[in-house]
Amino acid sequence: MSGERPAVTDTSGPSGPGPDRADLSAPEQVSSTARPSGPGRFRRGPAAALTGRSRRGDGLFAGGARGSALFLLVLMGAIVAFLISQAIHAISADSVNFLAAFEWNPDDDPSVWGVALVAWGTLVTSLFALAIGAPIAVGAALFISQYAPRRLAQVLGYVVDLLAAVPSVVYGLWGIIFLVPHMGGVSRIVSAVLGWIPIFHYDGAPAPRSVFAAGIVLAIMILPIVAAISREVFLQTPRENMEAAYALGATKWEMIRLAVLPYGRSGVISAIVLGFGRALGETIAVAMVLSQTGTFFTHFLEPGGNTIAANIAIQFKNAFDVGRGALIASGLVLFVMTLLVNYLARWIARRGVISDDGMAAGTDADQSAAGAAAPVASPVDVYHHHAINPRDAHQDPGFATRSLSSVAPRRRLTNLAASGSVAAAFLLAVLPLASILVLVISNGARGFGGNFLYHSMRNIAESDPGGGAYHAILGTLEQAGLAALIAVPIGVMVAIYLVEYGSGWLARSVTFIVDVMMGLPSIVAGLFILSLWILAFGFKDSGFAGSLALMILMLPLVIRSSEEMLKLVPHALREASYALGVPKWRTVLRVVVPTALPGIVTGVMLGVARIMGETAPVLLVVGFTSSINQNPFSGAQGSLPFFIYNEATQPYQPAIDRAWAGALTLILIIMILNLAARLLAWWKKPGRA
Amino acid sequence: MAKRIDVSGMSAYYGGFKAIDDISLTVEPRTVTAFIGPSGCGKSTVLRTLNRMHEVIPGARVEGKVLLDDVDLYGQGIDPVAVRRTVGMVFQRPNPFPTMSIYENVAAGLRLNGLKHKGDMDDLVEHSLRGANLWEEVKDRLRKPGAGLSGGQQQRLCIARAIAVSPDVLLMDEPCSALDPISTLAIEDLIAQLKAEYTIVIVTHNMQQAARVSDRTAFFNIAGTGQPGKLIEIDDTARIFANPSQRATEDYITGRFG
Ligand SMILES: Nc1ncnc2c1ncn2[C@@H]1O[C@H](COP(=O)(O)OP(=O)(O)OP(=O)(O)O)[C@@H](O)[C@H]1O
Ligand SMILES: [Mg+2]
Repeated sequence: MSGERPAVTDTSGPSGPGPDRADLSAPEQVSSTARPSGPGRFRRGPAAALTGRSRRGDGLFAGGARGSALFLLVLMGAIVAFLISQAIHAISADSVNFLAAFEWNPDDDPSVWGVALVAWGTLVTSLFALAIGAPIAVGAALFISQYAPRRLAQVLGYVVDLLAAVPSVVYGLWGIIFLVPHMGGVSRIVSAVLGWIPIFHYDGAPAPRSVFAAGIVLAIMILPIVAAISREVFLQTPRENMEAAYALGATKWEMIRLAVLPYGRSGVISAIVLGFGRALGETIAVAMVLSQTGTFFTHFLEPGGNTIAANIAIQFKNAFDVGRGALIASGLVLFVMTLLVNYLARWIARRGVISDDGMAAGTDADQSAAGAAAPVASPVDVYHHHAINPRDAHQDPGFATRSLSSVAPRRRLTNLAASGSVAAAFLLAVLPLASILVLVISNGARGFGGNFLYHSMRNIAESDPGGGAYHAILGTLEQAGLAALIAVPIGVMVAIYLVEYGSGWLARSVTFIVDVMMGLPSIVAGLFILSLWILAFGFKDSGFAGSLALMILMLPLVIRSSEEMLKLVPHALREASYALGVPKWRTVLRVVVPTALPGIVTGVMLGVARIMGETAPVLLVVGFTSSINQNPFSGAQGSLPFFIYNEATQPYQPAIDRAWAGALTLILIIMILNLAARLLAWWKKPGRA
Repeated sequence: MAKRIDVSGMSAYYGGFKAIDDISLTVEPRTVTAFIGPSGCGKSTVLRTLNRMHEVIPGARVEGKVLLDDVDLYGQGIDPVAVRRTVGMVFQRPNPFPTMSIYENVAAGLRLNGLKHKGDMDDLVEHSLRGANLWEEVKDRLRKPGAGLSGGQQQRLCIARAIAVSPDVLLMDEPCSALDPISTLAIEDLIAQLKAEYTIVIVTHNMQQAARVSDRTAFFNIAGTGQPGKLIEIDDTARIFANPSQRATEDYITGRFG
């Protein structure tokens, strides 16, 4: 083709603008009567003018979406600014360095406190949790993804997902009632082996509520989440890589080392770091298991210790002015710690990316949107991509042995040992989790029933049997419902903003803020509502205050899951709607959102299930009552997690029975919500109709 | 009322990339104009400038004029949403709304625009489905999901959806490329009928199809990757296929490239 301007045989002459170029309405009406009209033919009125009518609706809707995004920004800004201002007051009253001192007596005169004391405990318990939990979780994930038969693997994966939904107060209950009485024996064994290291010294106290015990509970708590993500990552290993390894004559374990582990490495590490972040922020389970001490401690098998979150939960109500500020300062330090850890996890997950096989927003037209059950937030978005390096195989000693009847004995032995260890890890992961479920069901069933569900604790002494959790169930349902009522519209609008409108600084900041909120320790959310709503504004403890704290925790869950779902809606549908002359806001509301709706609803239900089990925030703000209070807006209101916590920490058997029954109730509610959410996702899956 | 389209001096960009360079052409009312040319030469881009769908893509913009019966679609005060109600579009892949029934899909254009002609709606849906030669096949299952139809039926459903809002112009971007030969014939027949009422522009990679359905044919080409697409010539279809004035057109039609 020649470079010159191509000849165009038919070019219209310059046609000047028509006399009425801005508005076609008049000629249009005339001409449409002349049109051959069939029955019911739609006659366009003046709306057919080519000039703007859609702009007002579009402007309003875009404004609403943008407003929600701004609201989120302001909310988080307010949280941080307010907490900082509270903390500064206590920091200036401190007579020692507020970061470095290993002491906690802020309300003394002179005030002496340092976050180092509680930060130290937080780090140690979490590191214990990691050392125990991570290898077991990764082993279990390997077992589920590589060894278990497909069917079984699916079921196991499902069970692991459900276990991740068990609320922490239940782990705390199990820890204090079941684990701690056994900790004496365990600690004696550990100290017999490692006692020459001072930190493993053990004075023989029976049932030690020690850092070690708390670490074990935390390890069990992070198992499901670390195992779930690792399993996902392992399952993504490309078949070609695995087959390439087998084709080189690798045993199963060699295949895993050559193909699966290198591929999943960054994903698994980031899952572990994420689990670490979880452990750092965990409040109630630690508060229940640990017997708190206010001094520096180094004997981890013996009773004593403290963590930032547990310290806040236990001390806040009894603290005075400076004490509260000091606790808030420690909460901020915790916030920063979890933030850093979460970013580390993300960075590790991203670093491994070679080929970007993540979804590009809106371009995957082939994927129908109607809501596959997306995990509420999978932190590992993109995985490592490793090709197999055949040289690795040849460097492996004994790999090149040539015999058709069997592989070298050493390789076979290694393979066997590896399979055994992986299976053992799986068992180790399953046992405590099974023990928790069995105990909750068997102990809970004893006190569970009509009487428990329909009675409150009014006029029932903690030492007496009877009574029930009606007031607490009612409170939890109302609080979670109210939280959802606020969080869902705002969250969905923010998601719409991010997917349909977002660009520039606001979208970037909101994405960042949502990331931050994802990792917000729940105790910090409670702390914020407590210090702002109750201490600063002067409102009394109420169910609604609990809803506000839960709302802060639910917002990022709703935003993330809705965002994922909206992104899945094929771009072709939006274009089809635009091509019909439908304004953007109607397209979003009537085409995009309905298509994504099952997925959004699933995400909301999972979010509600998640916040229902939150103890730490409600502990601080709903107050305490043993009577029924139907009004969430006035007076203290019960809450199921708080009920479990309170009953579990009483020294009476009837109270402990009630705690188990409460745990069973809470787990049942959460499981029903989870199952319903997954059923909905499955039922609405594209291609099922 | 079928309308005349006048494109003059139009260029289209994707961000910094110029996809279309200085195009001028005219499409007469009640005719079918086919756009042909090798892949990537900008046929879809030109088509999408005719109902301002181009600017839906972030960073995309248009220079020049597109007149619809003397009104510049890119002039001041023109609402792209209103333009798209007047200039309808059918896409390469059938894209019925998955949450809606067959009936609701056809009614979507009006309902989504907030118009409720209650009594008329049934008539309108029937009329549009008849207009798309689909009525007999679906009249007993109007309340079933539109996604449950065959590919060809889905595409005719999308055509019914497009004509239900009474556009003046119908743009079709490779409407048959995802369909089997029988469905393709059904759509081609339909285009021949729709010509009586609409101005139709169709993009196709199928030379026979262009020859069968169109009155006029425009040939686009690019000098190479990264270069903008250009209009080489537009003429009566018979002339283009029998005796094109440009060498490139002949080469393309006879299959020497593209
Ligand atoms: N969304 C987009 N963003 C950036 N560039 C684009 C986009 N869509 C198309 N292009 C580029 O514009 C040019 C013209 O593309 P267009 O889709 O109009 O070609 P086409 O003639 O329709 O091709 P085909 O026959 O393959 O459909 C191509 O170079 C293409 O890469
Ligand atoms: Mg195209």
